[in-house]
Amino acid sequence: MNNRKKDVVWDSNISSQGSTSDGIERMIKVRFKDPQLPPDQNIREKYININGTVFQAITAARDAFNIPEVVPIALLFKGRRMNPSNNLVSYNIEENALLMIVPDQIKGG
Amino acid sequence: MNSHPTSKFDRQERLTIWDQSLIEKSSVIIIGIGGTGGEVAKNLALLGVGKLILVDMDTIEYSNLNRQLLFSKTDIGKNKAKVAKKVIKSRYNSSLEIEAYNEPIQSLPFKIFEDSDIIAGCVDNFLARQYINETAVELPLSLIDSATDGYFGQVQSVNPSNNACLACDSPPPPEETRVLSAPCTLVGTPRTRDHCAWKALYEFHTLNDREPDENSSDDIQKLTDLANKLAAKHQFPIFDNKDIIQSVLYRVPSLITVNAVTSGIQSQEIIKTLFFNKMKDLKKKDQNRMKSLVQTYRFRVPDLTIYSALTGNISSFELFRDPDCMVCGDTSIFQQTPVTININPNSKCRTIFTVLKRKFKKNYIGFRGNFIIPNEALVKNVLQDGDRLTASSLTDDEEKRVIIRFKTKKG
Repeated sequence: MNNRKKDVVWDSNISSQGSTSDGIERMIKVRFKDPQLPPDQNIREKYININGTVFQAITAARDAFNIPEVVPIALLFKGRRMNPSNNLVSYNIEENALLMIVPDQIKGG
Repeated sequence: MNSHPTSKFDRQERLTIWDQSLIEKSSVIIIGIGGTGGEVAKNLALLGVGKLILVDMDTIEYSNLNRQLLFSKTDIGKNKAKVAKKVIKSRYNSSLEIEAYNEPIQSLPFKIFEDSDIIAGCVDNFLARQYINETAVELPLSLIDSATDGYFGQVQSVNPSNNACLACDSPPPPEETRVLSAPCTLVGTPRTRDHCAWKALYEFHTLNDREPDENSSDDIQKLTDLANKLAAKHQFPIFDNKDIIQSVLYRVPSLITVNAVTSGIQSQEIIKTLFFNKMKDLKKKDQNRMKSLVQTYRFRVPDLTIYSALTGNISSFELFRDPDCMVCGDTSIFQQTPVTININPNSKCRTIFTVLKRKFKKNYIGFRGNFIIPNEALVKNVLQDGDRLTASSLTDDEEKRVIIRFKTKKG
């Protein structure tokens, strides 16, 4: 039944990642996972600047899955919700890290 | 044909790992009796939970009726918790012990939380969620919190000190929460135009002791006037009614289907958490079964479950505790031993701070959530025996948790 081709997007466009906190760009490949998509389409790989902020990683995740700005999203890494204003280095992200995309700012009762 | 079962709960009692008497001995506090909370209350009543405490200060509106099935047209304008109590008792479970409170959660006697087995958070704002989370961590008490937004629903389980609380790794809360939860911002100078709108909303609350009704042109005009007074004073562009609705009266879109799925997941996690927390009270056979299921990850309470009505996808995630969390972290005030103050309930609240000053040589101001404890009010009018508050030093940022104990006549 599942004949969809695995859709892995490679993107090494450094300039799309925004500026860095200390001016040094060190790109690593990470995997963004959007669990809302079918299992064979829900992981996309992308290069991000490890010296950048989580916000920049969120932008890269939006880019990878074409998630519009109006949809609030957050990233989870190893069971921790990543704070957009923190630097990525503070999370010890390594090559091939899996960053989970979850909806953010859900508050209604 | 089967004979008539002796118990209304016959079908669920046939389940393995099920103890109806354990459920019947349990008490759940449900905060927020709206689209999700009303459903959770109904579900728990029909599951046979022994005691429900319903909390909601909101009144029933016409736009609630398409998804809040406990209410009907004749209830419009009445308090949600009170109506829900009556309907649940008469329609679903007459033997249920049920209490209803129509006040802000920050004013609830702390004892209510202490006497509950679990908290079901079904509120519609970050500020209330913040208070519930702090209470759950402090006691500690399991919290199953839900939230919905349009096509999305989520349920987060907080098992204090074992997994993430609602504040762990959270980005700064949205603007309205920051404004409303920072009393200095509320009484200080608005720094942005939006602050004027939020301060106006706070003033509206204070003046009218209720939420403004977005369908009332009177309320909107009052709010706009309050905001414009501040805007003019602090030289920000003035608001029109449309600006005010967008700034502070925005209502989260809601769908009955998403409420139903989210509340179903939440209710189930509540029951599972009750069984898990009271595992030692289960029958020996069920205890062993449950232990082996837990060991093989076939019984677990997910930390976070997200449902999307757009994709039909339900995903669950693990969330780990942040040791530096402001609420459940190792150095948080909610993890420290609180200071107990014995006080005459007929004295003024300022006495609390005099005692603290004598003890710690600092001037303090007191809060319950974002509510300031008024110095001149009588203790018995603001607090109850066993209530807790946060005392914040005016000289530095030091904070303490304080338990208030009423002195009896005997001393």
